[in-house]
Amino acid sequence: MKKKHTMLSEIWRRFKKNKQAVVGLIVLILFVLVAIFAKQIAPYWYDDQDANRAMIAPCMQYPFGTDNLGRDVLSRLIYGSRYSLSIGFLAVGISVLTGGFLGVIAAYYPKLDNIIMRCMDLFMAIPQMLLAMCIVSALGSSLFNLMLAVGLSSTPKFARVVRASVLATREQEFVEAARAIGASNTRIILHHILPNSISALIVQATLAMAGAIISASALSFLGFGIQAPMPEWGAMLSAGRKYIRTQAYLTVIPGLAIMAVVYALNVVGDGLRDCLDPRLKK
Amino acid sequence: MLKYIVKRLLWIIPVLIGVTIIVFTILYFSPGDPAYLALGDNATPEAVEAYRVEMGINGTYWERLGRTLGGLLKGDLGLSYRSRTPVLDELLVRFKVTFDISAWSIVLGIILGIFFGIISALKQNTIWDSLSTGCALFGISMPMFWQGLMLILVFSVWLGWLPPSGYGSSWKQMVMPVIALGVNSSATIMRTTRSSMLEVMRQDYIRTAKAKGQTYWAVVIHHALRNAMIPIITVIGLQLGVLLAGSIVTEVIFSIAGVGKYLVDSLNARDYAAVQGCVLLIAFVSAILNLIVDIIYTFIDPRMKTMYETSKGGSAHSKKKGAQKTA
Repeated sequence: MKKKHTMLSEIWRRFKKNKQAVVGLIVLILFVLVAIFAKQIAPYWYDDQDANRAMIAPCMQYPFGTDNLGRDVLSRLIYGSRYSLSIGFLAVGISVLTGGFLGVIAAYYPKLDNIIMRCMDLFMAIPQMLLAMCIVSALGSSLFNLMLAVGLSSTPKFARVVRASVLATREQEFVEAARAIGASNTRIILHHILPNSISALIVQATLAMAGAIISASALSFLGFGIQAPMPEWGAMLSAGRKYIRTQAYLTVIPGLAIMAVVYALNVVGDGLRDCLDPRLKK
Repeated sequence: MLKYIVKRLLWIIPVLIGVTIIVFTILYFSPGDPAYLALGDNATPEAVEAYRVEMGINGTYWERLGRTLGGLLKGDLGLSYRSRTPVLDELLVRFKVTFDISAWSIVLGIILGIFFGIISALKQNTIWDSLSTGCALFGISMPMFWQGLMLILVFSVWLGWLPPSGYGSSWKQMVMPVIALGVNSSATIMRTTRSSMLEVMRQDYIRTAKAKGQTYWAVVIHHALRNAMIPIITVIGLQLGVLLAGSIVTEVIFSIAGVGKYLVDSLNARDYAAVQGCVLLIAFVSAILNLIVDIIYTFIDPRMKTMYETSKGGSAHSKKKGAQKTA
C-alpha cells in the first residue's frame, strides 16, 4: 500500500510542474461539480418555457440570454454538462472495455491475433464518424445509443493501443516468472500485464474522451444524437443555428462550452502523457 | 516495390467486401421499411413487392447480401431508393466537389501546419512557440462544425464579405469551408511537426551539418525537415481520412452538395443504398490515400524501401502507432 502511495505522489509531483495541465484539471473538476450539482446551481429548470421572455440577449438576470422558447441558456448549459461529460466518460468506457478485451486477447493468443486485428482493420477502414452515424441511425437516437455508437466506433483504436503495449510486456521476465510459478492466463493478464499497460491506456482514454465529446456533439448537431428538448450542447447549437443572424449568442455559447471541456481534456491528456511515460517526454 | 503496391491494391478488395458486409448488416437491422417510405403507408402489397424487386431489396438477409456483394464486384452500387437512379452516378458527381474542398483544405493544412511547426520547434520556449502551440491546442479542441458556424458569423453576418452557403458559382464560396477544414488539420500537423523537428534537431548529424559551415536554413530544410518528415507524412495521411469524414459536417453547414451532405440526407431519408455507397466510396478513397502515403514514405526515406521489399505488408501498421494520439 505504501509503495503505491509513493508512486502516485511521484506522478502528481511531475504532473504539477505542467501549469497548463493543472489548469485543465481544475476546469475539468469544475465541470464535473457543475454536472453533479446542476439542480442546485442552475437558476431555472432546463425546460422552463416562457414566451414572455423569449430571445433576451445576455443581461444581468440571464447571463447567457434566453432562447426562442424563453428558456434560460445558462441553466440549459449547466444541465447539458451532464450529457457531454457522461457521454464522454461512458463512451470511452465502452471502447476501453471492448477494445481492451480484444487487444489483450489478440496479443496474448497469437492464433487469434491475425483474425482479430484484420477485423479491426476493416472497422478502421470506415471513418469513425461515419461508423457512429450508421450505428446510431440503426439503433435509433437516444442517449445510450449515442454513447454506444461513439464508443464502439473507437474500439479498434483501443484494441491497437492495448495490443501493442501488451505485446511489449508479454515477453518480460516477470511474466515468465509468473508463468513459472503456475499462474493462470487470466491472472497473468489481469495482475501482471494490464497494470504495466495501464499508463498508455489512461493517456489514450483521456484524449479519446475529448474526441468522443466532439463526435457526440457533432452527431447531435446533425440530428442523429440527442433530440430536443434535451439540453445537449450539440443539439443546442443546432437549434440556435437558425437564429445566427439575429441571436448569435445561441450558437457562440454552447460551442464555447464544448471547447472548454475538450481543451481541458486535451491539456490534461498531454500532461498525463508527459508524466506517466517519461520516454515520450519531449 | 511494384510487388508491394500490387499486393496492397489487392488487399483493398477484401477490405471493401468486409466494409460492405459491416455496413449492410448495420443498415439491414435499421428501422423503417424503404418500400413503404417511398410509396406511402397506403401502398398495396403488390406495389410494395414490385418496388422491392425493382430496387433489389426483396428476399432474405443472405439473398440481399449476396446481391449487394455481386453488384459490388461488377462496380454496381445499386439504385437509390429516393431517385431510383444508380447510386454510383449520384456519387461521382458529388465526389468531385468533396474532393476539391478536401484537397484545398489539406494543402492549407500542410502549409500552415509545417510552417508553424518548424517555427515553434526552432524557437522552442519562446513566445512564438507558446503562441503557436497554444493556437494549435485550441484548434484541435474546437469542434469543426462550430468553427464553420463562427466563420459564417464573422465573415457573412458581421462583415458580409463571403456568401454563407452554396458551392460552385464563385471562388468566394470555397474560402470558408476550406478554412474550416484546413485549420483543423493544420493544428494536428503542427503538433507533430514540432515534436518531430525537436527530436531531429538534437541529433548529431545536425551538429555536423552546422559545423561544416552550412547556412542555418539549409540545415533546417535539407537535414532536419527531411528526416522529420516520416511522422508528419503519417499524420497527413491520417488527416486525409479525418478530412473526408469532417467534410460531412462542413458540407451540411455550408449547404454544399458533396458526398457528406448526400450521406446525411440519405440517412435521414432512410435511403440505405445511397448510405452504403457513400461509406464504401469513402472507405475506398481512404484505402487508396493510405497506399499513396505509404509509397511516399519510400521517397522521403529510402530505408523504408528495403523494409517493404523484405517484410510483409503488415509492417506499414507498426510505424503508424505513434502518430495516432491526436487523430
